[in-house]
Amino acid sequence: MTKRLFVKGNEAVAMGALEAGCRYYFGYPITPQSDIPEYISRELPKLGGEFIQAESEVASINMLLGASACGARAMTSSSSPGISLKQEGISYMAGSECPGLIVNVCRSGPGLGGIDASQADYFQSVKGGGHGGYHIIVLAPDSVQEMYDMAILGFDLSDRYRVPAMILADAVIGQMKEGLEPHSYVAPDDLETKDWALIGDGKAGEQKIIKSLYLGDGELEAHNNHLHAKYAVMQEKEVRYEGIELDDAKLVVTAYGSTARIAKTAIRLARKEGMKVGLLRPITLFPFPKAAFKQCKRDGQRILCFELNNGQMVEDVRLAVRDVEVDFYGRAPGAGSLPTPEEFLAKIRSRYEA
Amino acid sequence: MVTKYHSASPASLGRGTVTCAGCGGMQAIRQTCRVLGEKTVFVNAAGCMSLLAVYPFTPFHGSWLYTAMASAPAGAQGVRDALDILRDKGEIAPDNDLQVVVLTGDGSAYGMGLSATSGALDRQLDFLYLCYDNEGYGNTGQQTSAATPHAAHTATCRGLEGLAGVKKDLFAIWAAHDPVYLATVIASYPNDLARKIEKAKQLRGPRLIIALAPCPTGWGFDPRYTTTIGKLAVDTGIWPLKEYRDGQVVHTHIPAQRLPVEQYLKRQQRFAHLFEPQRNDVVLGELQAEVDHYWDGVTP
Repeated sequence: MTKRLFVKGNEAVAMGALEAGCRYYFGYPITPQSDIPEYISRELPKLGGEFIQAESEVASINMLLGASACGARAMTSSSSPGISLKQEGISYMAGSECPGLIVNVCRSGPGLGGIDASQADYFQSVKGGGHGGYHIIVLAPDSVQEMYDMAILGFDLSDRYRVPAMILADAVIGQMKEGLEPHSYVAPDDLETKDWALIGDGKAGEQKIIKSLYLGDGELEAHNNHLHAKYAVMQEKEVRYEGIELDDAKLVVTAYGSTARIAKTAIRLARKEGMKVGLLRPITLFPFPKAAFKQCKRDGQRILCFELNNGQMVEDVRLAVRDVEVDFYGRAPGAGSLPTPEEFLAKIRSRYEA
Repeated sequence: MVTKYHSASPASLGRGTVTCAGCGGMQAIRQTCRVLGEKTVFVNAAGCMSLLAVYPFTPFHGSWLYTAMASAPAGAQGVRDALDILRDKGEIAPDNDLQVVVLTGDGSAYGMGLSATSGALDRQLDFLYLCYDNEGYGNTGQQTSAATPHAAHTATCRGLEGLAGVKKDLFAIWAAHDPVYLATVIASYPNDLARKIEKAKQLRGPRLIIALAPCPTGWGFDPRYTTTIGKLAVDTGIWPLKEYRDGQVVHTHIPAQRLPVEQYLKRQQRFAHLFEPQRNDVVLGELQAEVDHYWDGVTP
């Protein structure tokens, strides 16, 4: 029988990362993610790994860059203000093609903001939050189980494409407890040996330069085109989303993460009232499931987007479907409470009947 | 000089705060504010005291500015410069000028705030830095900080022997910048604290205060013993009360006969593993030796 645990989302993402072979963690305390370093500080030494509580988020992301450059599976975690501090390092990782896992248990902002759940870091995550025009893989779990699963998936995708991966959770997903069925990690067959990595004396005589600095004529342009070619492949092959009752839906609700959980209840209530409503939940926020939204357009479905912010993902939905009207309902960061399914249902009702 | 703080200076901190019961940091801030008076602007980096300005109301009569975790002294630079310009233009009367006070915990002061502090000291910024040092990231659950003492347990350090490292000597790091004034204080010795804040208040330039802040929540003791724990920190010699001025370090209180450090350690849950289930004489010996070594180098 599969072992079933009752754990926090923050613990689950840490457990998944360790299961995926992560042996280096570099972090810094910040609410609501401090359970992650606390868990890993206890468990990683038992596995012979290295836990470092750095002096800052800037330090921890650059420690991740260093470990990654040596070919190790390594991670960091933080929450919104701390993730902002990491942006320069993430840009260096993207530019240097260093994989690694970054967990953002998002809280409300801007500035010091608050410690409640928020989805206000969507833009920062999916548009390349640092300088230079890059992307990272962004995964949006909506359950404790997915926190575990996506830690594993994040490492695999990150290694496959040599692109940093981020888990964009929030205070609800990180702090809540629910059932988790941990499973053993099986490495995908297609993961290549990291022969690009610096490994010190391991390959004596072989020089490795891991860099994001290109000064030769045309070199940096070619490098950027190479990075964007990888993003295009990811867009083609790695899009993930969950569709619920989409086939006959007249109205498609879209939401991710904790908001999608509320939306799931809301569409069930709507179905009970006889409304043909479905849910399209992006799991990969980058690459974004554009094709799925284009299909909604072809099927003549209306789209209603729910977010815990003032409207961010809705812009990508609108880009995907262009001239189709997309409705939005959001709660500003720091509302202090989550929207209720009934609140969403009322919005569904009004859009459905419009 | 005799100063009657209760009557001479209106307290710039009202009653009712959201800190934990028995917060040693709050004690030190309250005593500091009593000396500084109302004409202050606090520049704060995230920490336990960040809550003072916002939730659900503030006990401060003075003003307040938040900066990013690493940057409170940089924020203070901007505030001081702007106030100076307003003074020069005659838009602020000299009597209405504000003391610029950086208020951070040890997480920021000993760690990522060091660079900004070094810059402010380099520029001889006219400000007062008050660091409440509770030897860990108290606001997020007492994870290890660079101020955590050797052998202590924290939320991210639960090994049999506690923290392998030692508390960073922030006093020495700050002293190396040759500030106008630098002192350690503790609220359990209020007269020593008040004299030092009074002295700092009279000076111009960088003035830095490190207040050891006994923390019932993070250190694991009953809140009613905050003052006792603070006194023990001084009386065992673990927390030397001293000041730095004109290139000299002077100890302002030298315990006549130091108590064994064990008397301080055994009253805190964070050191309980040194006593139970087995007494760890090796580590206890190290901790005593470290304190003895420090005081051997102090001339009365």
